[in-house]
Amino acid sequence: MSQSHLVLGVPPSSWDESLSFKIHCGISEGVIRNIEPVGRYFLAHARRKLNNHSFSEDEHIQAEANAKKLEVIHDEDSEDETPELLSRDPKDWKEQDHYAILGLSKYRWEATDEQIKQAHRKKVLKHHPDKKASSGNTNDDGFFKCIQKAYEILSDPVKRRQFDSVDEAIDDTPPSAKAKGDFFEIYSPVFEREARFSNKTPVPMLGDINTIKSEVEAFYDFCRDDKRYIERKNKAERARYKKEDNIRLRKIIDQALSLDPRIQKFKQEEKAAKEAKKKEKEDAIKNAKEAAQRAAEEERLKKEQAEAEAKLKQQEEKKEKANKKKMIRNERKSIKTHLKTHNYFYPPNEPPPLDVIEMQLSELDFLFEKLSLEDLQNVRKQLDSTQDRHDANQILVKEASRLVSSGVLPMDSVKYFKSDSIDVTENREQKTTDIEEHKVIEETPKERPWEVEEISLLIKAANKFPGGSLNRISEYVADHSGLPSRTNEELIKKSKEVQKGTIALDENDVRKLQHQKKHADTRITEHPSMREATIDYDAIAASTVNGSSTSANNTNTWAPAQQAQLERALQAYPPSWKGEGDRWDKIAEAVENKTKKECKLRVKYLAEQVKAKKAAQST
Amino acid sequence: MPSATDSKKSIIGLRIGQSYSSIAIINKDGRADCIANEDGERQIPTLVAFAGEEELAGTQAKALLLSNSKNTISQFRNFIGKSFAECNSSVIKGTAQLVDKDGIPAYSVEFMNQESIFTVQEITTKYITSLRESAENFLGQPVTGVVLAIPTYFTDSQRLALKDATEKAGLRVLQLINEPTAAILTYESGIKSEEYNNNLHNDRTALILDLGSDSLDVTVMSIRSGMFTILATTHDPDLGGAAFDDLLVNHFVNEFKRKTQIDILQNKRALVKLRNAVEITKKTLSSSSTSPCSVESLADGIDFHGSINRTRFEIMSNKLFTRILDVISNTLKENNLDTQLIDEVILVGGASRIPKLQSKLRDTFNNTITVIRQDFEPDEVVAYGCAFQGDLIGDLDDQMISDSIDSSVTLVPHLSKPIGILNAENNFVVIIPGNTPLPARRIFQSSNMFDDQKKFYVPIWEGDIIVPKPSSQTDNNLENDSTLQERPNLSPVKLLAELVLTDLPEKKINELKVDITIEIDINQKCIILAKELTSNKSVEIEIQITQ
Ligand SMILES: Nc1ncnc2c1ncn2[C@@H]1O[C@H](COP(=O)(O)OP(=O)(O)OP(=O)(O)O)[C@@H](O)[C@H]1O
Ligand SMILES: [Mg+2]
Repeated sequence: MSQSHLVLGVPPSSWDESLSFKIHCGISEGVIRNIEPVGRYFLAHARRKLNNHSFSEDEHIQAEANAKKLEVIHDEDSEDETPELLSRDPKDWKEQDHYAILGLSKYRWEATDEQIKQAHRKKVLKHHPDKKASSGNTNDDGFFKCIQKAYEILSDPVKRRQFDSVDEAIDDTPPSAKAKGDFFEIYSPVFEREARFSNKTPVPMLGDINTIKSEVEAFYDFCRDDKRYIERKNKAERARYKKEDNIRLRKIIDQALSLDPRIQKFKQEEKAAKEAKKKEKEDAIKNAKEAAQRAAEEERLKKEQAEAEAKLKQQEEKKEKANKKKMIRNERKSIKTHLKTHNYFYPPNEPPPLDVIEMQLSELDFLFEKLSLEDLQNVRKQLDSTQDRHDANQILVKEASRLVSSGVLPMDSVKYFKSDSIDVTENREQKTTDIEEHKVIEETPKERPWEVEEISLLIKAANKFPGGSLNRISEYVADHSGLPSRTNEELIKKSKEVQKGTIALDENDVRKLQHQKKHADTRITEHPSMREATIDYDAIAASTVNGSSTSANNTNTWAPAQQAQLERALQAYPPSWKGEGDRWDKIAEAVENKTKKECKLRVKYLAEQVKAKKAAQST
Repeated sequence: MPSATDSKKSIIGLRIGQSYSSIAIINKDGRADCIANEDGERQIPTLVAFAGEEELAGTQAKALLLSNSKNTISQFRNFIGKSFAECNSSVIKGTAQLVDKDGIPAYSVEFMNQESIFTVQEITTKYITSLRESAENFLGQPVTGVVLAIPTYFTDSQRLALKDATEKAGLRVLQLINEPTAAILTYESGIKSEEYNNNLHNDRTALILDLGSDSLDVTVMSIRSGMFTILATTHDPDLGGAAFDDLLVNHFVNEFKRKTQIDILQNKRALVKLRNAVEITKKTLSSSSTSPCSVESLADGIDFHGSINRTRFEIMSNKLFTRILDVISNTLKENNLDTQLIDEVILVGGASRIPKLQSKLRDTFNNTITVIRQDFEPDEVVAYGCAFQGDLIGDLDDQMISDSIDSSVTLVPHLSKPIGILNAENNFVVIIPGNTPLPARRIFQSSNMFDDQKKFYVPIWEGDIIVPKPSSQTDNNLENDSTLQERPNLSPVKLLAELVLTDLPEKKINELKVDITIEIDINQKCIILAKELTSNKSVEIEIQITQ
């Protein structure tokens, strides 16, 4: 700080020589504030204040108290404090021998921390300025400062090592290369002495003749790249010293290496081992190479053979398959031709409606899916043998019912073949949608096809409520499937089928079921709305009747109740209905929260779904 | 320096923050360090939670903030020692219910399967007990005493209540000290006593800026020969790290809404989750230029992944920075202080790590004098100071401690104007600066101006601070700031006395040593002594305040 140096001159010329002072005015009044009661300077303030002592009184008392403490202690076995040592200037601390100051010259870098602490304590007690102050001898704390500096350096591990690294009082000349005697006796102390410079600890030791190779090597490696403290006043000198020190150390290491009896031994052992290893390695490589070649060749042959066989087999299979496919195609074609020849079972001069043709053909495709080549051949042969359209129709219906009764086909999958359905012609002029809609109306009161999901729920419900009321089971299935509930008869029938195991689900269904079950087991609680969100496996099932997880005013969403209302309305107002007004207005009236347009769209949608479902099943 | 006999003594420093607390000890090498709790955290969340039959505190309680928030208690520190009516319960964010128990604030939680009511005091005791246990686990021996930090704005009853809660937690309270004071003590403990003896009093004025989680505390402190006096202090109770969290929460709420159409502003749980996440985002932004923010299943099972860069954060925080700087300038203005009179700005509180704050401060303290310092971890420095104080007074008996900190000792007049000497070049050299607590004594060494100077003239002046007016365009002219602003001048204003020494021994220039001692006692009586050291020639005068 700038104010630490204060230079003062002489009084102005106007100063009255007879005066040694002049007082002009007092200081401005102070401000009462609170001192924060922390820190040692506050403690000193508190002590003065509590004892009502002034600064100098307090100092005197403190000094006396310290001096008393000091007298108790005297030291023996200490090194002499020469006048030269005692008169050292603390400013020259960089040149100071800190060990000598603390009386530890004979220990130097070997002095323990405890020794340093003790030595410092002793010296402090002996040379404390308070002790001198109390005997009236002021301003002579030079040596005390030297002591503090010495302790500051030696008690700090980093600073101490820096000091040790350049401690000139240590003899660090390397031993003569020609020195006679045991190698280990000569070199062990040399390396131990060097260890004090080391940055890394613990420092490995030289060891003896029995030290294993890795340790000997580790030892020399360590010495070679040991980063060492070098402390010098300036950079240039430090660099120079470091260089000198490195040269000296390298000389010691080189000399030790050349003389170390273990190194010779290791070298020979190493050479022999290397040779043996080299040979072994070469042999191993050769052997391995040969073996690998052999194995590769064998492998290649095997693979080639297998490939050839597989190819042949594949070709045969392919051919056979193609053949069979072709035959199936032919058979199907012939059957379709028959159908056409029979004017799709319509009277010969009455052209069948296009949509009926379409439905028949799609149902036929559906049927074909389930028929083997033999079945097809069989049916075709039967058809070949008749000219009557009713007979032909019977043949197909019979075949279809065979499949239905064996559970391969759902109940109602082939009703367009039935001649009675063909005879319904009264509304021929109606639009296609009406015909389809009509179909929907017709099947609902009979029996809605069982969805895979429903069956699985039924099984679940049956297990859940063994012997439970049908109502309960019905409710459960309806709740959980989101589909309209079943009549008791339907349930009983299906349950029985389930029990008998006659419900045969096709492969797809089983897969769906498994998939659905997996999801249900892991993620789904008994919560219908949540199930809705997670099961999207079956577009048909989900769209037949949509649950109500999303908002009610969404036009695409049909609650089960609404669906049921719609179905009832369609029954009440069939296309043939001749009442007053538009039948669609009546239907819309009967369905809660749905407009006429929505109802129409819905019916159309359902019809499309039925169609799509069939199409999906037949591909 | 702790000696070998101190091993039995184990004293800790404790800071209980509104959101985080820390425990500090003094190491063998005399340095302070914080200790980590069992979960490895040095910043221990100030939370208590009840889970079934278990009481949890700290890190473990914080873990329950989401899953068991209604039985988790946070932000309770500021309620201690207050009546229920005084508690502003809107401060609480979705945790246990604050209830009125006969006028005392308490929390209602479910504990051991039944509804239980715990007062804030009891909760504090539970929390401090857990800190004590953490400390004892670390030390391997009982804690023998504690020094506690308290916010400057705590009332006497709050101080008493906190002390009481700590004692109930099984700790001997040696002393309570103000948080900024503890921070300053840490900065000061690196200074060796010799430096004071060598007249390097290290007098300075510091502004301690503590930006914690919920509050901003600005304290101006004068430091005179190792003694500290608070000159001014301001407390803003809702300007802290949490205010920055709010900004980030808002930012990400909007981002989430944009991405998913889901508005979580009314979704308490989602907000708690997000708030936890943005605190980490914010901390990361102090060291990286961009930081992610991810919350698993933020709302409706949807994960949120966002990120923000530092510039964006700084722009949106600008208002907060301005508010912080306003608090500082108001504090200075109200106390007739100028930024140039602040030698150091010391950053305390976790949120002071925000880098932009430091550069904003630099802009405000746009001069060559003020140094902005954060030498120590800002959320640990307070606890360190407590530990230093504990180390200092740990051996004193309770009576001695309570006598020392009594107001009859601490409440003293402070020098209102600096006192100094006009040197040979007519420069005013301050011997005792203003704001120095009394009694005070300082010794200054002076020397001769020329060879064989037989007389020595010592004019004693009282000075005052003259702050140089910054030239008109200073504000925006950053490049030249060092040349435009100067150190405030202390000018001699009033001549108090003149002393003259005569017939001095002949000495070469600079070799005459004259010690000038100025001692001012508690009654503001001023004794001045000038003494030449080789001849012991001296003059001594006494000035009464009334003169
Ligand atoms: N690296 C960082 N960058 C930014 N903010 C941080 C950082 N580290 C901690 N913080 C914030 O600092 C605040 C905690 O600081 P601190 O522990 O000092 O507060 P406190 O003492 O508990 O609160 P108060 O002082 O209000 O009682 C939190 O808001 C935290 O998010
Ligand atoms: Mg704080």
